[in-house]
Amino acid sequence: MTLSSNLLTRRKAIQGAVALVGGTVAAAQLGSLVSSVSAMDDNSLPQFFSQRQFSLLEQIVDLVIPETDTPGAKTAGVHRFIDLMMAEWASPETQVRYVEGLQEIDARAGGSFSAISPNRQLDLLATLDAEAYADDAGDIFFKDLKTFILFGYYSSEEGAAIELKFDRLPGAYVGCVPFEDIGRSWST
Amino acid sequence: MSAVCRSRILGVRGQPDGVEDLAMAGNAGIEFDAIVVGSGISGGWAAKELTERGLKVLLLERGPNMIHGKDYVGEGKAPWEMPYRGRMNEELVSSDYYVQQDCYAFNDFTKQFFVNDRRHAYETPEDKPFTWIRGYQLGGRSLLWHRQTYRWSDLDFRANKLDGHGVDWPIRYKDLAPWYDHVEIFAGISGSLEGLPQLPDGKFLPPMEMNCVEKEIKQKIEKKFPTRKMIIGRCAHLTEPTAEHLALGRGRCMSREECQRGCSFGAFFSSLSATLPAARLTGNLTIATDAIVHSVVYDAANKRATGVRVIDANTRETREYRSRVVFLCASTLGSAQIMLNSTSEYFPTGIANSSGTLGRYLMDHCMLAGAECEYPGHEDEYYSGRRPNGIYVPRFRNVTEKDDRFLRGFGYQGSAYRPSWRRGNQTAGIGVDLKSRLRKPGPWRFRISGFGEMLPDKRNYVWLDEKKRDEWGIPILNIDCKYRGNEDAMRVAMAEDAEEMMVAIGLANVEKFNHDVPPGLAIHEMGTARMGRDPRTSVLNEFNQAHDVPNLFVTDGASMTSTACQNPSLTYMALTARASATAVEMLREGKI
Repeated sequence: MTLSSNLLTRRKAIQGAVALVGGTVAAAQLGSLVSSVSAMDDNSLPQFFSQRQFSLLEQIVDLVIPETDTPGAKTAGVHRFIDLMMAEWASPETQVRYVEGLQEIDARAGGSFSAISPNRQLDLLATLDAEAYADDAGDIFFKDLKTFILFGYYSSEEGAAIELKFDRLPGAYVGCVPFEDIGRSWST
Repeated sequence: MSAVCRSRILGVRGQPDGVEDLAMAGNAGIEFDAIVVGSGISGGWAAKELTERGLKVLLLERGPNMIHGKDYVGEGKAPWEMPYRGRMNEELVSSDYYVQQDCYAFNDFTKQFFVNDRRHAYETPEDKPFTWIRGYQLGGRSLLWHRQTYRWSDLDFRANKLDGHGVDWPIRYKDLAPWYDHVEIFAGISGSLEGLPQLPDGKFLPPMEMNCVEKEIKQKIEKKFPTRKMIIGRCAHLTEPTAEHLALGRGRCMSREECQRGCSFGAFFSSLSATLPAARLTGNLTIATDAIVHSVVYDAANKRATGVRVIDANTRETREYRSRVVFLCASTLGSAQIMLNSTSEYFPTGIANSSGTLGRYLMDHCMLAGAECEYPGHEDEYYSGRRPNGIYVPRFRNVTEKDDRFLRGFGYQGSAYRPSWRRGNQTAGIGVDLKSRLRKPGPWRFRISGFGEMLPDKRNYVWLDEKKRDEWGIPILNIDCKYRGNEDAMRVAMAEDAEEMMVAIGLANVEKFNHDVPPGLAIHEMGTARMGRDPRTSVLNEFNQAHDVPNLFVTDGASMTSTACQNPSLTYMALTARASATAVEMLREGKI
């Protein structure tokens, strides 16, 4: 991971900034900056979904943002994040929408999404996606789910700082930079 | 001493170790030289200017104490370090933040600086919603503002007189110009010198940079429309701190664009980063937090305000504080509420309301009309850092280009940018293709959105409902205000002019927009205790001094006679500094 070398450079920049404003002001900032790796328990049980729906969600996030040369949504724990959000963040209406929406995806797979082949799984999600983004599409669950997966992934450390670029303390704004010097989209 | 639950008096250095029992100060009968109500942008300036001129000042804040840096709990956090990545519990938002959630800056990183709507209710007629965005804490909304800072000009100060809407401002640009200089130098305003009469230059720190596409668009627009300009935004950020800024512990802007979470670098101007530290250095400042001002106390025999009545936010005990002069800086609607609630035999409808105009002529800017489009090319160019600022197109309508569709005018704020991964929400695609597409930023886009002047109108007003009271027993505010024909026509023009400019410089697929949002959401609410030349038609004179009560000053947005189209905070600062200097002079000369 290249994060550590970035962090060292950044740390120097911040220390300079801290010195500039007289020492103590941003010391707390510095502390939070160098200890920023999120811990995730891979074996945690779902807090909200049934085990069956949790597994379904895990498969879906993995297909929507797969592992490539960088971690995908499954490694980033996006299914766990959505489960946590349903347990602690969502209103009852949202909770019902997600439970019923996932049931509907199982139904579209002929009863069990897990039981069909990976190729057919991908085809089904592509179909749901096409339906959700069609010109005359109404309020379709898959669009919400995909939006939530993208949010969960690109706000995770894997998505924001490994797949994309994350800069906690830029230090300055430079208005014209060759894209190749940055190489990827900013996640913020 | 049960100090924890009581309003807190913070000592001269403002640290919590100076906590005293509020009752002691009240009972001891201390008379301060000045009481300043509210600690936001205006109150901070009043505290600074009055203490620096030797007055003993009591600053009252209705919300809790905030310590610069320490209480910026969301600052510097990555999304994955927040429990819900910056989102707030859906049910909590619907039950407690149903108004505040409409503010662009409201989220889990910043929620501690916004009021709880359930506890701080107000009412509007069913068909006239008004969005009242508030921050009750030491520093007020100076912690939340958007930091755009533009001088007003005589185009603005003469506007009412010229077309007859509202009363004439009792001041002109020359009266305020030295005070703009004064506040800009201390606050630290970055900007470019442009020589535009309708948007006077100021004492600027170096301007922020435009990105490559903005630079190109600027050239094209200015070539196609010789009387229009596109400039970098002027904003209250330290691009190059002076010795004075550094001495107060402030530092250079780090380009995080997370300002509303709090900035422990003190890089943007707020009461906590700038004016209150300066006021504390004088040794003349006492701060009481959790102190809700119920009303101004009036002595009819001597025709003076003698102080304020305060309710302890935590214990609900009431106290009176006495002073020789009172400055109301509680925000436009906050000051209006206090004044309307300050009734007496002499002022049955609210203090200093012999004109009957108190509470009337409420205004906000009209906004959220403009256009956006893709800007082809430059795919090999990007930017680094997050500029907490955009570009500005100063007003041209009814300045250099006459427009008969409406009176007065608007300016545009906007930027050129490359969309992030969020564009993935709007387009079909999944899997490896989606992931690799979102790894790169999207094609450049350009967006501008107008902020337009709202005409003063007597029908836009606020009043107190004696039958409905908040948990502190204060009658709740009713807001009866709406945009009318001139604003509607202006918004149409904002969208059309923006579209026309983009098309004229060769851009395709321009999408104009015109969102119908309630007033208040621009968070530039102004009026209700307007300045004017005639005591029969205005509440305040040219020094923000109540015509009826010579030792009462109102220097926040309530005092505004019209709105111009520029963001108003810089003008509140200048008016406050000017009124403070005047009040001190009057006190010295025994005039008040």
